[in-house]
Amino acid sequence: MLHKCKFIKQSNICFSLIPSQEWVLNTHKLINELEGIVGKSSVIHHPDDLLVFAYDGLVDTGTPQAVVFPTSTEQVSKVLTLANSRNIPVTPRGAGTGLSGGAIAHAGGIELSLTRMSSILEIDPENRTALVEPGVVNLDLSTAASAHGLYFAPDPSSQRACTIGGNVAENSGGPHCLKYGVTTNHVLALEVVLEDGSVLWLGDAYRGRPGYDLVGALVGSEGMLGVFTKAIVSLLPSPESVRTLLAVFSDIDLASNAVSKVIASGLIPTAMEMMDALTIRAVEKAMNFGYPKDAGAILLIEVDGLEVEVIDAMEQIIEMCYDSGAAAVKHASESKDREMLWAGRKGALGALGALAPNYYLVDGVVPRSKLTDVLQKVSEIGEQYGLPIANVLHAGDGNLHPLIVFDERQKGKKEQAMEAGAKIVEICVNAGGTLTGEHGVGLEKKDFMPLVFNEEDISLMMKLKDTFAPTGLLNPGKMFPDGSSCADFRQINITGTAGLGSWI
Amino acid sequence: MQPLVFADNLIKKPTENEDLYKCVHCGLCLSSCPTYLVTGLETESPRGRIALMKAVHEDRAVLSKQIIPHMELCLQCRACEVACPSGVPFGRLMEATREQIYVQKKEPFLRRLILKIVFHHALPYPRRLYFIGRLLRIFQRLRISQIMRKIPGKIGQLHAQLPSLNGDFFRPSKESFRPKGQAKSRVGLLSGCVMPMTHGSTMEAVVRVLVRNKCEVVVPEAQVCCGALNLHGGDKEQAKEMARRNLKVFYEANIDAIIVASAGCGSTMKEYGDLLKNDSEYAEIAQVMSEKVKDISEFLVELPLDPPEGNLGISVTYQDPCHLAHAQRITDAPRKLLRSIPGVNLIELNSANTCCGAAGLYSTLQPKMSQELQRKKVESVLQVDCEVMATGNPGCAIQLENGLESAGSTIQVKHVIDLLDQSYNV
Amino acid sequence: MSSPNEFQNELSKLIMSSRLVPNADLHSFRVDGCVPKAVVMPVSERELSELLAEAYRKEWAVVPRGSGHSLKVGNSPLKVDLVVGTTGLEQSIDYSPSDLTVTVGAGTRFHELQSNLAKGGHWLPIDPPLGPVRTIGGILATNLVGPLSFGYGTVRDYLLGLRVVGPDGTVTKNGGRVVKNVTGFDLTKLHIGALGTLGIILEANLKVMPLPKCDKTIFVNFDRWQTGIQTFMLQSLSSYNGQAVELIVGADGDVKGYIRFLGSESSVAARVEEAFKLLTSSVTNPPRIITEKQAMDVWDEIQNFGWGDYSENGDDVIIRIGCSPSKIGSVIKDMFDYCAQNRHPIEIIASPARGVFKCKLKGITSVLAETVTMFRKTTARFGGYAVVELAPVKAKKNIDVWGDPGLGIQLMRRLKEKLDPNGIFNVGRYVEGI
Repeated sequence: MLHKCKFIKQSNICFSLIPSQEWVLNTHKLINELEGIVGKSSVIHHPDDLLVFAYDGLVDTGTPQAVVFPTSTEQVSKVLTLANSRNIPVTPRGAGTGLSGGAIAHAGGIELSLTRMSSILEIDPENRTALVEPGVVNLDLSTAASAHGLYFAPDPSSQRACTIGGNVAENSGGPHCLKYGVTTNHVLALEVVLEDGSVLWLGDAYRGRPGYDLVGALVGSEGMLGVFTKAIVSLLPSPESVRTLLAVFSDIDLASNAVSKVIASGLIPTAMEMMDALTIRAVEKAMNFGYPKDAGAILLIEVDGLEVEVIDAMEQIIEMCYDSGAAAVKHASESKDREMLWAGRKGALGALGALAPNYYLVDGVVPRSKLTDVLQKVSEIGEQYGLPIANVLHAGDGNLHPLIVFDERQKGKKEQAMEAGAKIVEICVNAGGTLTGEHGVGLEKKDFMPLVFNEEDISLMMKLKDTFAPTGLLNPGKMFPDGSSCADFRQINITGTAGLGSWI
Repeated sequence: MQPLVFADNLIKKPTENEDLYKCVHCGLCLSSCPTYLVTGLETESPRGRIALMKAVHEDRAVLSKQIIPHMELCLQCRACEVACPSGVPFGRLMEATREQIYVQKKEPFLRRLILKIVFHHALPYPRRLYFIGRLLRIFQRLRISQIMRKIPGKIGQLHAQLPSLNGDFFRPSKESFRPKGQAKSRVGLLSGCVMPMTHGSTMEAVVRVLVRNKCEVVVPEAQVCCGALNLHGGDKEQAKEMARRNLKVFYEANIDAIIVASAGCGSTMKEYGDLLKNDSEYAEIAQVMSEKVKDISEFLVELPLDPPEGNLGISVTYQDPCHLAHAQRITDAPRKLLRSIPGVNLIELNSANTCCGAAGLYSTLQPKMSQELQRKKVESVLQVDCEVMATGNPGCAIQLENGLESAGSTIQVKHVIDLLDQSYNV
Repeated sequence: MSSPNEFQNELSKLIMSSRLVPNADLHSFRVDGCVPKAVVMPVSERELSELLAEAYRKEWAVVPRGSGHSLKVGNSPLKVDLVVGTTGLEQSIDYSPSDLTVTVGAGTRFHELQSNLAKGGHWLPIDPPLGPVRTIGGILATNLVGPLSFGYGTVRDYLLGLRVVGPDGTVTKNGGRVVKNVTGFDLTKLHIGALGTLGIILEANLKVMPLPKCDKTIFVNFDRWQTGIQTFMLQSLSSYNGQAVELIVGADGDVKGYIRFLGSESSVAARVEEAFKLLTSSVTNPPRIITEKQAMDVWDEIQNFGWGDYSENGDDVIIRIGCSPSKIGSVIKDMFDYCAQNRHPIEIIASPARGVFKCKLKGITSVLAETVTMFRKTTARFGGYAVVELAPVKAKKNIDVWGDPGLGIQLMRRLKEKLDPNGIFNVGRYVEGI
């Protein structure tokens, strides 16, 4: 794995971050011009104000010279044209809830905030699609669609705040993607502004038009290929019935067995979430659910569909949980009771936050059958570094989120936590998994890319970038490793520091 | 009372410092923040404000003319606290920040002067408040008042915002109110500063409802305003003084619970313990007494309530006061009370827990944002087919009344207890 | 360019002669009538890679080939030097039932994959034309879909990762073998339906689904196709929908409808019951459940519509039309009107809720160009597209089978230039001559 890094030539992989610094000298002129495009009240440039646009959910920061708030595709196009003519980096931004630093203006320049383009332009119940602007909040779309008995399936845990534009850029997942897939499965068409300011619609309100699937390539492109100004997404009918089950196990192996049994039975639940002993204790301390003190793992399973299917499936799942040694099983069908079952899982991060002032949240994926092995190795790493590691996982997807708890005021702990995080990522990759299941590469994991992809793989991705955005001014410095730090993996620089994000 | 002069930033005090670092800027608070929803700007969001506080705390910025407006635009509605998975006590952080602005005299001169008069020379003195109230009532009966309301610009606006003081004022009294027969408990009622004048009849209804539920009610005469306005405005020292006064009065009244009918006051009084935790004399009593503070709806639901029987036959919608829903986390109790009334059809309001823009002095200090939030709130009320809009805080009530009236709506705004009282007396 | 013999001499320096198809057989490897100068069946990735590197240097026109069934898709090639087959490569199926994933060599026949998966109780729920006999690579590269795509989506929804060999012989991978993955750009989707113009697929990682326990098909006769569309649209939008919902309108105007229900016993029973209620209230002829055997034949017929009896010198033309589901009735009506006016016999199968229908036209090869133009004009009015899926070789020469690929065409060209700069793969067969 390590030797691959050495082959990466800096020239091939790295962006020339800022082709020209000239524009920095002309900030004043630039701001005037930006104000000319979007209006005075839609440009932020005072250094004090810029402080709050320097971060997203990752702790790393990068301060832009200006933040603009366009309200139309035309304005976005003009801003990009201007930036392009001056060689100014542009970083698109939604709500800034991402956990990999995708919305951080790493190279300075213009931050393009799309929060004021937040209209749901159309909901078409007959074709089950919605036409939305990028700044629409994920949950708002589902709320609006619910009037027609529909909803937008991707439900990242930040869905109350995050935007559809950001979901598309990061190809967001969520606890319920086990059955319904991630964002890319639900995006049909995009209006995109390219770095030269040209505007085009790609895709249709239905799939099947001939030609390369450019929409498929744009979803998950982390803002580096173009700026989305409209999207047509597909909506799903709200299920007739939903049931949730919470099962308590004495250890994580038994819970994993239950998950395997469910999968093997041919059922596809909408969600299968797991919490380990440390998490359970933290949740119990914070919220007093009355979880058994010796609980080693808690499994939350949700099924949806027709009433008959759901009843049927739930019966089977309850039996399988008991067969696998569950100490207790609770289940609910009313939405209030279901929320109660979810409450512990949803509050887990907050509760874990109370254990210590800082934590580093890792996002890794492994083939589901390797989960038990990998969790064992993760706990060994915790022991090795003397750091408590709590695990909250999307067990059905093999997506794990080890959370390394530490106190940065203790000398060296932060560095240890970062190192432990790097080790965990390596374990995931070695188990046949990958770096990130839903948070994205961004700044956080760009130096890890050589763990999964070799020089040829990465240069092919670069070719895609060159197709859409040859100058590299769009969201520069993300996703691809800097030549310098990948020569030696042990020195991998995790850009993000402690306490990344607070939800998963 | 002299405010202490702080040489250093207040938020460098250890507790607040920790609070500040609980924020991991995940952004989940954004969509709960009314000012973010209106502006779409990170600078007007809880996460942004915390980032600015942090920058000030770490000496990367000073409390500049650029930063202060972002702090002042905050409603202190604390909706972000509910959304926050990390449990950041944003209200406390913002109060500390406001205090900094206040003690460092960073407000514009005129605003500072007005605040100072209100905080130091009016709010701590109930008699002065009643006197001002009477003057205003006389003024409101004059024709000129009607004319002034219509003057375009700030003066007209200010007049339009003034609550109507037509009804009788409610006053504390020496005598307690006793139920027939044995009282189940003895409770103290906070009279408050504005509410007894603007909503005197509601206060009377509160007393009747409590008595009906077998409570002996005392309304101590020596009590003062709870200090919420001072605290939110940054005048923490005066707020502490008022808290001490109230604690003494209610402590001596020997009661089982302190009942508050105004959500804003209730949340402040519940936090007296926190406010005075370093007070050598009052720390302990503040802790004990603040645990006795109950919102009227919370108290009644726990009793349990003597079921009302009078059928009202109306459709009602309910607006969550921020300081009830977010600061006290009480959302079920008032709804339970409403549902217990025969003939009340409770229809949920869209985004019922989003601030209406009243927020104490906010509507006067930040009229533009306040009106925008009022407009949005009225818009969602008008989507509901109802006759009455119920709430649990006088500030919200006034803001909603004004908003509905200027929208030409006939929907009446009432306190939850007004409706309960009405049902008891049908 | 050298003559076939010289060409083969050059090749024999590169690759063992046993990998070359004998000259006598070249004719049967023709692509739309173009006979290649050579056909190579490499047995290892290394051979394939080295061969392509040479082809790239020499700018030979290469046509990738799986089972050969979908070589009739697309425009006729401008040039064919070398046909490269994938079926000679060692094919492995690495199936992990507990992960619900499988890694499969591109040359593997689909039926082999399915029977492997069936052992673990799984399947890949796609049913492209001639599906079972085609290769995974071919299915991905053509992205032709069948009736099940209504309920299960297309192969796009199941693809997790790919290994691909580029025109210069470089082997790259993208995606992975886990169901959730956002590591780097998603290049896998670009190869789906790209007809091998960006690279030759070597191996695919796919997500699999549990095999349904129960499979039932309802048949219903409609008096008018309009009623069929309306009723089936309603059925598809209800929560008791089927997984495949298709309407066949014969040249004689006979309208037959089929709904296929897959899932657990209880689920299928509930859905069928609801469907009966709905259908009984809207049709005069009572719906009925058909036997397993009948159902198998019917779905085969629909899946292979036009493909089973295709001949490159024949007369049939298959046009696939897509639009928003809500517009499909209007588009079909215009097609029928046009064909009636011009006395073209037309037969269609339509999947209303997918927004797709296919027309089989006979006897129009001489006027194919104007018919296609007319179809495209009509569909464009409703925001749709029309692709000539199959047509006799002679007739294809006069038309562009793909039609308008939309506003992205410049980006598509740029992408092709970046990924296949010498333009060696499938010269001229893809959209706008890519």
